[in-house]
Amino acid sequence: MNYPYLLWDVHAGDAHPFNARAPQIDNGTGRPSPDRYHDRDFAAREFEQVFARSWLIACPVSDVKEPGDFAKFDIGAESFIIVRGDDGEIHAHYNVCPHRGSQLVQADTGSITRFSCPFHSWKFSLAGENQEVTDSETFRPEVLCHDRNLTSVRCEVAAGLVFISMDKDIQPLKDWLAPILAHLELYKIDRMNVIQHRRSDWGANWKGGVDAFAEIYHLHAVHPQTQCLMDDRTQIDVWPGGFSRQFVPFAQPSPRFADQEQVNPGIAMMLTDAGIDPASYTGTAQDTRSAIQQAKRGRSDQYDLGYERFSDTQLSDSTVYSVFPNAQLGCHPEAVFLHRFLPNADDPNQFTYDTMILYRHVDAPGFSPPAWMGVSEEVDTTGETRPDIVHTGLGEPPGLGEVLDQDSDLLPIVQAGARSRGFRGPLWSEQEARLRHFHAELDRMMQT
Amino acid sequence: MNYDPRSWKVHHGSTHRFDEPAPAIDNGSARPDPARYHDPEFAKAEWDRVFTKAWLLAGPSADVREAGDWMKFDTGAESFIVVRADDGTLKAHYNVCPHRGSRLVSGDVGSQSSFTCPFHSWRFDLDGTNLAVTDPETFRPEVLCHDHNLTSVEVEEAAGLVFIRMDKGGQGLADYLGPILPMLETYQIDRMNPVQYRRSDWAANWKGGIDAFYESYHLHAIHPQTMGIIDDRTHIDLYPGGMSRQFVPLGQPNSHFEDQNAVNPGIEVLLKDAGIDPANWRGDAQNSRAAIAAAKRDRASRLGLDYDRFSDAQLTDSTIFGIFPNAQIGCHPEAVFLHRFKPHADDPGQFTYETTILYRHVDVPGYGAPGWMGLGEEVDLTGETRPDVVHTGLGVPPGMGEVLDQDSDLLPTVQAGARSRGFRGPLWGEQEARLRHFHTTLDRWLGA
Repeated sequence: MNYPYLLWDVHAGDAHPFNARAPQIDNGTGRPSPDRYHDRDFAAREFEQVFARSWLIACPVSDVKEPGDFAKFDIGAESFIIVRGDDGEIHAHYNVCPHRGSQLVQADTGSITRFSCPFHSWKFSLAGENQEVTDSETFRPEVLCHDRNLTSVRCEVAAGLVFISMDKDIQPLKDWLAPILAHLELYKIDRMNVIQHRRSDWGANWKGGVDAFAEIYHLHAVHPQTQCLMDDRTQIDVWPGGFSRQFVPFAQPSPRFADQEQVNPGIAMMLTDAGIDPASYTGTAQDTRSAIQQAKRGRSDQYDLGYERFSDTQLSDSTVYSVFPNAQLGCHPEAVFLHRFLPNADDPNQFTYDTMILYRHVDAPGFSPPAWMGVSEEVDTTGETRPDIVHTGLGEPPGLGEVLDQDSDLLPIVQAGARSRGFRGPLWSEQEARLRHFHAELDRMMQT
Repeated sequence: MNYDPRSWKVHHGSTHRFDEPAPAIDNGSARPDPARYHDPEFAKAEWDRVFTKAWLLAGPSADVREAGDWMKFDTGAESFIVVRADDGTLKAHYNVCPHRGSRLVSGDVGSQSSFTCPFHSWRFDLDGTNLAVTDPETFRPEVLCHDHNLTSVEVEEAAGLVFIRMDKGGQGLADYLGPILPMLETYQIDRMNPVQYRRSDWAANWKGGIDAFYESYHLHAIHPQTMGIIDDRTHIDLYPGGMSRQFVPLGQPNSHFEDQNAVNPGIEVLLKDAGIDPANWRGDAQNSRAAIAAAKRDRASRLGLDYDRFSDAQLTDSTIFGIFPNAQIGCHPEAVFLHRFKPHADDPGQFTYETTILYRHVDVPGYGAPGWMGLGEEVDLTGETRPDVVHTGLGVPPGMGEVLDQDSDLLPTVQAGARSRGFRGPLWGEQEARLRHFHTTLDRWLGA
């Protein structure tokens, strides 16, 4: 390895165990076949080999707080209902009536006492047991001897997130998540609520989405407006199982940005967010990130937010985790961004990007989501109101802010080239180490 | 068998031959593999072993009454021209020019003395014989020694309907239709004319359409507005070859409807249609159906219509025949509804629903189509004007009235669940005996 990316030390301030680098994993230098991005057979096998045998993030726990609360989770051709039972346990079922196959629920979230099929009104308990077959006397007993409960799937909770798995023999979720579980738990996502939820269809393979969100090498080209306040010198850690993380330093300029000293308007906004008045601030752009870290620590003391558990880096930066296979979590003390890249049921050249902001309500004057998160004024940040999912179709700008709209513009262009006969497979740098790590795990699951 | 779908007494002690139950057929109680609803391999086998070998309902004889009259019949990837030849016989040809393959006609119906290919103007007579090759001197004679007539398929007429068959061999049409042929003949469909013709694309397998239209078990759930006037207590008969019929009683409340006695507004409309003034009528909802039958019989004798051939149930109810593989006919003395469920050429998750209303014009003051048929004032009921086909695309409400729009809304939801890994195959009750009979026959053809 001839590029010393491990020498980058992105951590200002005191040493903290959270920032420790993971043991190195060598994923080699191969150039994988680009079939993975467009081949239908690859996509069909991927669903069976990878998605059907993994733990998948279905919803945040906050969506199923009370008995009867349910959330629908769609992925590929499948749809699942995650529901809190009367016993307080969370259950997950295929969203399929055993009678003729109709889906049971169509809403994204809701609260009910039992499920009633829209087709012939068969009834099921929250735990998935058949409670009523309409006109049961018109069925031959042998027909009703076939199992007529809902088909359930494995469902476990970790770090405030509900995961499901179609594989009944899969290892326990906490073992699956082991390398990153303690990290995610620091953010206490179970105390957060969804305050924004967007979903949009993109003209690219789902792995094109994963790839784009797992590196910041493209910032200077696709998102030049971020160069003044996001550094692309980074720390990347990869763990067994396809998991990884990356620190994306905020509030200091990229080395590609011309003016390294001046407190530019972007950084000034971040200072304001942290409670520092940019007008009276006397440092340069080289110290702003530390200043923000210290200001947030001061605010934690004031509001008793318990930020001792976080490193300085965690306070200022975006700490982004990849949860294999298809989720990423952008973590901040105030809020977590959950991104999911959902394969299309039939077309490997499409995926659905689903993103939600989970926010920890702090009932203190002057405390609100940082402005860069783009949460509009009218949003209820208390967690009382679960916002509807806003869904935009293929080719429509997702309306997720300038950066994400730029990504959604570019990804179909990448997809178009990646499926060309002329493309011989990706050439990944060490800035793209998370991509290589993700694909290596994908290949391992495809082959076993 | 603890429930006999022939056991509900919908005929009120009728001694009419038409109402006699068919001998029972036992199709078992198995749960079939749901791959049939979504697997492309299954769809291909269906095409190769069923659609190319079965008699398919191509359209009404009324569309090809005179020499030169033709109708186009599309199904799957195929298109056919059915045409009345100069000698009065019917011919059916692939809608394919032998020169380069172009379709010859693109309209739905027409009348002409010969066919001219739009590509190089080769001409063919109604029998399919080549009449002219444009610039024949520019072809080597050996090329034109290859057969350059249209490729024809088998065609037969029965009960005022035209059927075609792609592969030669097997039963003639009358034997194929079996016991339901004389029943269909009582409606004298040959004297009816198309007065409405709709076609719409639905996001479901064609058998999902067949299934939904083959049972009235779902009425209470999907079409609750019909519960005052359509009874789901029904009489189902199964015949060899996958044929079936079901009486759907109109003019009396559904078993799930609370008030079984009051003459509700829906029944009032049906009484009025039959010439009974609900204000002066003294019966209740338990005898409104019988009153309608009596009134229709009475009116028929006044107008000189021979209704003796019909049982009382035929006068009031929808008497629905299933014709294997993909047609259903809802029969009434005044009109019949042809329903066809056409598989998509490539996608097992789509079909085209086609429905035609054929109406018998009676030129007597006071006679008209029952109001519930929804034939607007602007419809020419005389049969003089052949209505154009109105085609609606995928996801567009077909605009066929509330009931069919509800079905088109639900069927994609059923399809989505039926293709799930979590669906273990349908559980059919005896109210769904026609579904089991149809699928059993389909499986027999597929195994053959």
